[in-house]
Amino acid sequence: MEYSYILINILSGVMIGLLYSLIGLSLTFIFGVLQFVNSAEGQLIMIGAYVAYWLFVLYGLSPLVSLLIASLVGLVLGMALYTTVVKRLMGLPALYSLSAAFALAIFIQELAKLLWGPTYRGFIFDMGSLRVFNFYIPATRIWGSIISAMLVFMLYYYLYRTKSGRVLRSIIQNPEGAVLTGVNIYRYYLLALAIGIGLNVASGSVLTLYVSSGINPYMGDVYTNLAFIVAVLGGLGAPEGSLLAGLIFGLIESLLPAFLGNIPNVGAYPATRFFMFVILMVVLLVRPKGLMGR
Amino acid sequence: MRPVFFFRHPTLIVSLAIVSVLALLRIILFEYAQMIYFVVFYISLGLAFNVFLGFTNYVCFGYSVFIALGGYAMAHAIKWFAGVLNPPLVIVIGLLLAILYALILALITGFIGLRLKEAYFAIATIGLAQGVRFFIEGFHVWGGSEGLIVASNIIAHYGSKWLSTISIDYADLLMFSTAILSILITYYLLNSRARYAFMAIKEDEDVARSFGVNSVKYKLLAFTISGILGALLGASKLLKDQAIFPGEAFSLTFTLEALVITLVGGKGTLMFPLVLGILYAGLKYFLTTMFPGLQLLIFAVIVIVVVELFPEGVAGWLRRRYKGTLMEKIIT
Amino acid sequence: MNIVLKVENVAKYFGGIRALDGVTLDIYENELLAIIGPNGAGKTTLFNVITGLLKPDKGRILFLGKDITKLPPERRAQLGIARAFQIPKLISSASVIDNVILSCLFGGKMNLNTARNRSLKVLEMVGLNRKAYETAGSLTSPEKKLLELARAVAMKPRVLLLDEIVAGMPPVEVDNILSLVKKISAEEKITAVAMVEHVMRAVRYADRAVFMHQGKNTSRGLTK
Repeated sequence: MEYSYILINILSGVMIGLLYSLIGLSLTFIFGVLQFVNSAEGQLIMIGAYVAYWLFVLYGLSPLVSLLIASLVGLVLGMALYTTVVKRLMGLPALYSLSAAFALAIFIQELAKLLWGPTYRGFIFDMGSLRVFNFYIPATRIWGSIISAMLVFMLYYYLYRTKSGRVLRSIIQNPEGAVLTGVNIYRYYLLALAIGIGLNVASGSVLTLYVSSGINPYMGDVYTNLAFIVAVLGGLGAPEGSLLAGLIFGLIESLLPAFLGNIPNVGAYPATRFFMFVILMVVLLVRPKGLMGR
Repeated sequence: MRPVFFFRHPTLIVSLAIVSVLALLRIILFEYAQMIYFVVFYISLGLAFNVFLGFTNYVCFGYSVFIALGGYAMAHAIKWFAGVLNPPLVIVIGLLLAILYALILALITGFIGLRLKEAYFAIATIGLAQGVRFFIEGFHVWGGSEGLIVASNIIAHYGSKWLSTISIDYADLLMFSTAILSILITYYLLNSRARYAFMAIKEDEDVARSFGVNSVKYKLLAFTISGILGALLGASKLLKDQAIFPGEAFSLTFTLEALVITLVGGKGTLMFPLVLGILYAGLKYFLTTMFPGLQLLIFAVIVIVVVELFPEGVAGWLRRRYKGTLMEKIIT
Repeated sequence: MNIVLKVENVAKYFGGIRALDGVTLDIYENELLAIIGPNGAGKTTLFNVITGLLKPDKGRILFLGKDITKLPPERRAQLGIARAFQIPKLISSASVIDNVILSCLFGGKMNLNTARNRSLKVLEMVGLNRKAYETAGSLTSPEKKLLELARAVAMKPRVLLLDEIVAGMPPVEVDNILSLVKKISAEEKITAVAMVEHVMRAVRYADRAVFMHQGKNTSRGLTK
């Protein structure tokens, strides 16, 4: 094994890991505040990817711009979802919100298929590449990593340095107690879901900076599973853990196929996805709280 | 004696009667065998899924994994023993294998997941079906992504007449048996001391434990039984379809369908998943012919609407209307 | 006098908060012990540790000489530690008698018939037998407290932990409940530990009292 090859994989792992951190952050943040498992995360990422696609194909907008629009779409969707679906489910047994989220995921997926057809879409957006050793890293990926990191840190800043962010953190830490403090908790739930879904859809656009092909209505499942693993690994409901968990996972995912591909008779892609699942199970078995969970 | 028995166990009698009528129809109206099979399949799916959902309020989103395992088990039995033993015996072995595979998976997954809260369990099980699927495809075991086809094995060892006998008669027999077994098990759980344990667990697990209920044990019990019933379902499905492919066997569609049946019908009851199974089969057939490609969309909307507006399902609504009467007892 | 429950130097921390800071307590057979202390003194945390809903950071719990610190809550209940919660944790959609039967079946490990008979008897003891088949949710607030008591007593525990059972009740009700508790404990040979906020009433009924403040018990108990 060449060292430069390993280093490139590590770099690649960190870069994709930052996106994974963002994806996991959305899920864990929403769960932390609302106790709602957003099983539709992957499908909302799909929406974000389609937003980038259509804006590029129809108006020539770069994904860097599209992601702003995607965030807005996400914010509006988040508010809509709260008022129509999530609000009434809070306080009811978990099975209802879990089923609703599951059904929502399928609904979004099927609706996308109805509107845009099942065909795979893609676009080419080239910003040049950076040469590292003998490898070329696409500049879009670099931008993707930077933006992912920015979004993650923006949320951290918001949660730790602003007044409303602190309220949200207190809700995360003490769901029952927060209601008693007299703050209008419904406004905060709305806010949290809007922000969370905003990040969710935005990450779909950011994704196109990494991979701008293979966009189709059924692409979401992989990302939902990914969000789950990163969120659980970092600590479900503990936004602080997403950054580290995403990076760890990105590294694992980058280094594993190379390793698995060497084993004969093993398909690297499905085997990697199987290991993703095993990692999730191991975390749930050994330390369900995750790295930073309470 | 009989009228008294009816009044003491109305639900059981009515449900078994419904299934008996269907069986009768199957025998008399042979042309409708396929459609009746379809109906009984959904009755069994609803009841099997309900054993876990209805008694513990946990959802196993990867439920199709049990159905798939059952299919693979039966396929294995056929592939390994066709020609060595006669068909009925091979089928029995297939059933035993299905129970075994389901048992192992349920115990492992349950041990990891059921000690946790519902949200964690949901996350674990959403990935479960896909996880097993990717194991099969990634490591090329059990036929890998091409799946397994057993029709050729049956024809080769027993002749094509056996093929139709198995795929039509044995498959249907097995499906009816699974439905009846599901009814009996559900009824038993609703009337034994386990009912109290489940009642308490659903209300508040910590309180249940403070009163001596070993909640993990009961959750595991319901989960394992539900899984085994699902596997039996899958085993009979394999006999009908004569093939199994990981791409479709592990899909989340079954979970959505099971959710529609149990949530709309009324989770935790016996009658309503049964009745809804029948209605669902009808609805699906209707949608497939009238609006193909829209079924999943419509079912997803139904689940969301039911969860928001009628969480207790039709059973809950009817229970409130007929409170205190015999009807109420039948509905349970 | 035999010691039925022993709390040995138990500590429980929540982040920086010392909810329990080295509590040592001996509880004697058949006594009615009052634990008195203001809000936040750690009484509920102590009960949670005794019943197993929380694991202590330090110390042990011994029940009839056996170390139960590592046992899960349901095992402790089966061994004979019952708890009546301050806000009655009932299954509101089930009937009154079903709530009690539940306790008999699992905490009390009885079979269905014995459980039914025992439940009826206990409901009579607390005066709820006429409402046995009504929904638990339809009971009035004091009635729910009685049902909570009935549930805990029905499983024939050795030790009964009563969380703030008289909190927020008018003095007449307080007397009723406390004398009922005393009477039942004597009849059923149960050791009762009651958590109260005010000294006065407790002293009338309790055999012994212990004070708690900021996670420590400051007095080993004054007897009459």
